[in-house]
Amino acid sequence: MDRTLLARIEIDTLHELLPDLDYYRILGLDRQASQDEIGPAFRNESRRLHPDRFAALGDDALTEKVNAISRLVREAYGTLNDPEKRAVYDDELVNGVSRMSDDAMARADQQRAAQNDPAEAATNEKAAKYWKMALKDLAENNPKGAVMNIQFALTFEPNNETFKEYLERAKSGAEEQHKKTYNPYKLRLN
Amino acid sequence: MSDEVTRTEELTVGIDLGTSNSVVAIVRDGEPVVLADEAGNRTHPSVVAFGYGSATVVGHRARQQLTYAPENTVYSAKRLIGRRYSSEVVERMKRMVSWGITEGPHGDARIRVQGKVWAVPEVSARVLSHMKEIAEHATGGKVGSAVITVPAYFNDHQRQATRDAAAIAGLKVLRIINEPTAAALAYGFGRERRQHVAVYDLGGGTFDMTVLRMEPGIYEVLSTSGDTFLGGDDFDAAIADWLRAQVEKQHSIDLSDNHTARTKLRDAAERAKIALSALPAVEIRVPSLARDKQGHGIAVHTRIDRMQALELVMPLIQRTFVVVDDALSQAGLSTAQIDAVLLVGGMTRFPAVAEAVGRYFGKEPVGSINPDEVVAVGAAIQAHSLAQGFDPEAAVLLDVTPQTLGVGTVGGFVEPLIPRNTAIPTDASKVFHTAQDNQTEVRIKVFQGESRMQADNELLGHFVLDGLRPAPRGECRVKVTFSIDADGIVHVAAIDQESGRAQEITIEASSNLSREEVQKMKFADLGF
Repeated sequence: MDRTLLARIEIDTLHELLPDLDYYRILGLDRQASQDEIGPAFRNESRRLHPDRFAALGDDALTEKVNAISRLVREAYGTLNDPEKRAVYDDELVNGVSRMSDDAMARADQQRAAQNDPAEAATNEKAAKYWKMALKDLAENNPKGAVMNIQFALTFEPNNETFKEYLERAKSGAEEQHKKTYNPYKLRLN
Repeated sequence: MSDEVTRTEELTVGIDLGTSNSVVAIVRDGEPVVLADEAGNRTHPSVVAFGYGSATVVGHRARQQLTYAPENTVYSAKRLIGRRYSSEVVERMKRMVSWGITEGPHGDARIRVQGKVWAVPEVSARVLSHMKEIAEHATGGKVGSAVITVPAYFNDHQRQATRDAAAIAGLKVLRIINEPTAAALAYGFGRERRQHVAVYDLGGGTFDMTVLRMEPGIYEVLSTSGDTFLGGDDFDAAIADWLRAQVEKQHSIDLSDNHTARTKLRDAAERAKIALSALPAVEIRVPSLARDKQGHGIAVHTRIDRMQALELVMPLIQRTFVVVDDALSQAGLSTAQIDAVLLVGGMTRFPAVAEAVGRYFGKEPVGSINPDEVVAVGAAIQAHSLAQGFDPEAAVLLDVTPQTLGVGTVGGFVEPLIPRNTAIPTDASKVFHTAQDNQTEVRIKVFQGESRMQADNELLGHFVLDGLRPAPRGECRVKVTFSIDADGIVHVAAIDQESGRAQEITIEASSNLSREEVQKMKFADLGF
């Protein structure tokens, strides 16, 4: 049998199995695989079923299938190669989830968004006043003003993590702005 | 080798579309070869001369026109491709070139020659077309498709504009690949050994540093870093400025607005630089540069040695090593872990550059490769592999995206979505929701670059999700998927989470040509 046909059969089969494959199985790995085994497994799979190999066949349906397979291969590698992500994934896997699903991702995103909706971050009334001014400064690209107002807001709510995070960002923003406009040779009169 | 499926009789070539010179190559009987023109030239100046008779002239003949009609002769157009008119780079470019630069309808930088305005891809298309003609003449066949190389650090706009240039020239692009990666492909051809390779690519206009992991059958790019406005042109400018300062002082004149004189000095500087690659010192002569205040002719006759030249260009060489450091740290490797160092680009022929690279890595760079031709050879190998039928033995390429892709957030910041040096093709999704009641449109600004501030990154465009269902705030959720394809080009798609339907996206504030414009610019419609 010719090699193209063999490859076609493998791709068709693999593509049909795709919804049931977890990240370990698509890379041909054991769940106990050591961290060092991830890279070689990824390279081996990438080499075998790389979309470029099939480009010249001009078969769009086949190309779509190979692309779907290689997307899962890269997704698996991206997750398993990062020990922290791998740990999260392993927990999901125990619960019967084979992919970091879009829904899970979306839920996480939404949670983060709700937590981080900056307008709602202040709980103290006085802090809220300065916080609002700080956000306005940021929107108007005035990080220096924002630094001042966030520092005021922090005096009323010293443990607010969102304030602290924004303070860091505003500080680095102010620094970058300063770098851009600072001219050491300019005469300063005051 | 398997040739089970041969779709067309048309040839496929690899083209290195360089800032200063371009090269075309093909795989013939399993061996990559560089194609020469009738005069035997293997590299061709990326110069387009306008107003030479009725049409344009490209390559060596155009290069000859440079010193007597500089304002009609466009060189180094690649430094402008995909750039916004308002960018700092365009300001610097305006001071360096003899032709006009003006703002296009998308805020893009365009070229003005003889009162006519050209989009940069239209000029690059003429260079590509010239390469196609050379290949057809050398092979007697018809060229239908090509793999074209770009600097690894090119962003989405620059890649898209290069694709547009090919479309204008009527050339089907099989793939856009990165120049250093192409060089590694050429180096690895027939040399299958597991190793880490560092590619130092200093060309006419750009600098790239790429670190790869090579093993039989696979080329995996680990990291890439670069500077798209640092190259041989800047070395020439440094030497030309030194020459000009001498002349101006000696004759008490100001040549800053004399384009003919400045082009002659630039030309003399480039020739001197090239000669210094082989000789310890060279004479520089420009017989009739300009006229002084009394109307007497001014001639230049001076001497430059390697030490003087080195002093002039040292700051430029030092800038490359900032990039080299970055690429190595991104790859997580030390210089000792690099098995082979490749020098690519004409500028690496300059002895001080090669020496500095050798000292940095503590080993001699690979001597067997031709820095001017190796990129085109790699492109030809990739073109051959993509055009040929299924071959389980052919080597594959895993490249990365050079710059971080992110979306704009409140306060002028950027939230990264796809970090740089992620293997491509790749995608990332983010769910956007409405912030106000009955909001019917969401605007997303997409950026490329490493700064946390929007202003310091390249704005790829505003993506507008419109026609949303009026609903209380936060209820309308749209999932937007950003994907980067194998050419390094960004695509955006959106799905309404509630209905599962594709959501309309319009792109604003992009500096790219529209599909209709590209269609209109095609050579056939211009009467070529």
